[in-house]
Amino acid sequence: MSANSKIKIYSSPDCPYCYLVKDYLTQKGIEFEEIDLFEQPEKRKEMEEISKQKNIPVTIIDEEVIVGWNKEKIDELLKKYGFI
Amino acid sequence: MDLYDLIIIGGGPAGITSGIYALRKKLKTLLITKDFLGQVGLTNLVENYPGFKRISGRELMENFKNHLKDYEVEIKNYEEVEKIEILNENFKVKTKENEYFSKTIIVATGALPKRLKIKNEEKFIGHGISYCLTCDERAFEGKTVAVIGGGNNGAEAALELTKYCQKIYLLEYLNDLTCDEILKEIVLNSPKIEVLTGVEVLSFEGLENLEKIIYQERESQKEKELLIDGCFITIGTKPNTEFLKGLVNLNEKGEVIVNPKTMETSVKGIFACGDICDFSFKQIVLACAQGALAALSVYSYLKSKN
Repeated sequence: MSANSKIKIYSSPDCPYCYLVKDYLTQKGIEFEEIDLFEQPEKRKEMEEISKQKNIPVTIIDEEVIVGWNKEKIDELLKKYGFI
Repeated sequence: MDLYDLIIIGGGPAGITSGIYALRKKLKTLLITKDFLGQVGLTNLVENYPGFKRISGRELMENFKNHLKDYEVEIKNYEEVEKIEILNENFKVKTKENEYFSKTIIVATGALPKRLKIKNEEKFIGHGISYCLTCDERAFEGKTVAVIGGGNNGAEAALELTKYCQKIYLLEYLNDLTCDEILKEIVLNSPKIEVLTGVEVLSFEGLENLEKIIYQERESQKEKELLIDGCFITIGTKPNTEFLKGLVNLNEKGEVIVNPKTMETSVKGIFACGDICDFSFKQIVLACAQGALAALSVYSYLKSKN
């Protein structure tokens, strides 16, 4: 993993697909930063600007954005940025 | 070659229940699932599963999963089955990552939410359209939204949205809501929900974000529009059986045709249960019952072969 690479997930506690993204990364032993939009609703605007849409989860791997639960895309970016 | 007595494909209520029953019969069992969420995990609130008056879908799925894990079960989570091959008397199950071998199979891959397949539906996903209420309901606080589909999921969605939204339109193609009467009564009495039945949604319109729905009143054939900020689509499901085509008999809806006494498919040794089967009613409690029946039938089948 490059020194500056990191993973950020915009989520909410009741969101089942957010749970899948977090559980999948946890199962692989990969650390991530979670931004809970229920706790921090002011961050929703930031999420919408970054992902250019409104739905969650939004996962940022390095600088790349994944909307929704997309295992193939997550795997691809985890490999690309050296997380696995 | 590691040969299992049973491979279960699917981690929803049907697959998990068949797992519990199979493990209690001491069958060497592997459960492969793309996730432990399924449709139940996407459901905000479950109120018709006996023993739980009210429970969130996610919590019920956690309970199911933890019950299964109480037994010595082998699980491959986040693996999706691409193909089942018949090898003499056994089966080969191929996922993207691996190959597994078993004497019998239970398929319980459930169903996926249907899309309307109308103009601009894809365009506005993430820009006002969502299929996941529990993910996205809070994006519409104080706004006006539509829910398309007047079944139990649609009615539950509309009621949940009354907590956050100022106005909810509930649209149903048929002339009456198809949800349970108990839900219908609450929906019809909600001052925030306006029910439109006998309507066909024709398209979604807007610039960058969804702004309106164009629909037709089916009887008068009049086209009308609704100004909205968001829309949740809950028009039912389609069975997740693509990978079974050409292997077992499916009906015209793509559902697996099973013997209702045993849950066996047209192929000896392959059983199916839950929402992929050709039964009219899709309910958690029915999926569990079918899962139990499938596992017990597998046990009898294996006994009869020995």
